[in-house]
Amino acid sequence: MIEAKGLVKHYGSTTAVDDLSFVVRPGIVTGFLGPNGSGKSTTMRMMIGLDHPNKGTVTIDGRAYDQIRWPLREVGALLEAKAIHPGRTARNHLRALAASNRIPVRRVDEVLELVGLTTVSGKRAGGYSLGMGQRLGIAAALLGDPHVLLFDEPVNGLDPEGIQWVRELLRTLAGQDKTVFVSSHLMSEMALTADHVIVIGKGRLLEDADIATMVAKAGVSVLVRSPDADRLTTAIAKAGGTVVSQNDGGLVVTDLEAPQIGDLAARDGLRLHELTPQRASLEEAFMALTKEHVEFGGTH
Amino acid sequence: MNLWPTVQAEWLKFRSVRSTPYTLAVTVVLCIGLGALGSWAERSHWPKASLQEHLAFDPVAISLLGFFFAPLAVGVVGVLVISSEYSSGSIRSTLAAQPRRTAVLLAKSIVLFAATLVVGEICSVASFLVGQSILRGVTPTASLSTPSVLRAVLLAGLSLALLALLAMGIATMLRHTAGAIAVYVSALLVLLIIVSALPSDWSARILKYLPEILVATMRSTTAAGTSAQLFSPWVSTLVLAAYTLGALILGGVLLARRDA
Repeated sequence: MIEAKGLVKHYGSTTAVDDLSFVVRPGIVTGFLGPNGSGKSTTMRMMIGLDHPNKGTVTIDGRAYDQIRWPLREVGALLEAKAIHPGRTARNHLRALAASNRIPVRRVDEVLELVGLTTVSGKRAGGYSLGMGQRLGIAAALLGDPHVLLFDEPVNGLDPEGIQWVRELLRTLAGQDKTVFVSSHLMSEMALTADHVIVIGKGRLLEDADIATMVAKAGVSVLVRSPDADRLTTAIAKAGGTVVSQNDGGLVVTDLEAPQIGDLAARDGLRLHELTPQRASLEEAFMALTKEHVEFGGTH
Repeated sequence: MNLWPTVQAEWLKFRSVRSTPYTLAVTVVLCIGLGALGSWAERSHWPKASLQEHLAFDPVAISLLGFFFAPLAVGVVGVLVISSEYSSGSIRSTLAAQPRRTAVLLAKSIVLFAATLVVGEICSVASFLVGQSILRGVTPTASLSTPSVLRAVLLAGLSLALLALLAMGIATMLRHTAGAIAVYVSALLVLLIIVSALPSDWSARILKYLPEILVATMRSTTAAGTSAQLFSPWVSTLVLAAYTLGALILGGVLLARRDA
């Protein structure tokens, strides 16, 4: 379990993380969402002690990261950038990490096999593609068979097959009752893998909910088509609904349910050609959440 | 704080990139080569040399000629041990595996010191022996059984290890390869040029504190006896060690305090 309490991080005059508190539970995949530059990487760096918070704490099973005796055996982290010397081979990189945490050398070969890098493990990492670098990062994260995993944008640079592989890996790890925390700036990616999402914008917590709750919260709208659009708009507005006209003549109505709109039309004798309840997609819900926040921020 | 596993990891990292073993091998070859070249030149010149030259001749100094160059090479190795971690981003892997940062710096220091001490002693003993064997039969030669000669040769090797650590300390502070090499070379050579240009009564007082003069004193069999302006070889060693320790402590404090 990961627990962040009142995390604050400033870089000079900018506030990267602003009073962030949340809990990441084991057994599920928790998505960590936010637009680029919203403080996701900073938060993850603070989790493994690379950056020091200005205020607040983040603990793993109740302990600060630097209090863990063999950290790689408890926490595995894939960080955004390639974190390997270009002149060192993948195998030697992993061997050094293994040695530092007294992890048996056979684990090095196991994780290389697992991520599909066995054949190139003797090659210098400088020649690796982005995707291979990403796989090596995942191998390093899995090296100590940790029960807490942090992945910062793990599908970056991977081909469709690799992306599929990462999704399955995340599900498998969560299935083994591990704590899996994955950042992404794409809600659509999270929709496919995460059970729970934590959304931040400008370093602040915007949402901390199950995927299902998040969709429900995003609300439903009703798409209405009518030859009597003008009169219908007035009627809906009077009844308390909100109408947004679309370019193709359709009306998107919120704050009123489809049956109420149908009844209104019948009462006033207006013709309806279409009356379709629409569930907002996760992507739209995410956009709405973060857009709102950016507007409050007022710098864009 | 799990120091020993960290030392093992750092040793593996130290030898698993090409640059370190190559630079150290080149150091040994050039060091011995320069000493041999100098000795050969002295040998050929000897019959034509004046009495003054014969009297001033120092067989130890000429065989250790390569030690004017070697500090640059080991300095680069010392800098790269930490700066390459920053340029490649591998510092994040390193600190995630060992979050106690003092242990990381200590482990790197131990590995670098051990490796450069071995290389330094190979350089000095081999340069000395090769030099003497070239000079033998023509000029006077020195022997390791003379205590001051043995001391000069062993401290020459040690000076390289201390300089490599000094360079690593500077690089830990600056986190940047080119910047750290520039500062290290400045501390060695530019400082010497500046101080030499000062009025002579000033420079005479300051010179003995300069790293370049300290290491020259450490490997000299003659300097300390002839000039009251210099520290003895052993005091020079302590002063250089103090600089090195200072740089490492300052680097360590910054490493612990800063974000990685």
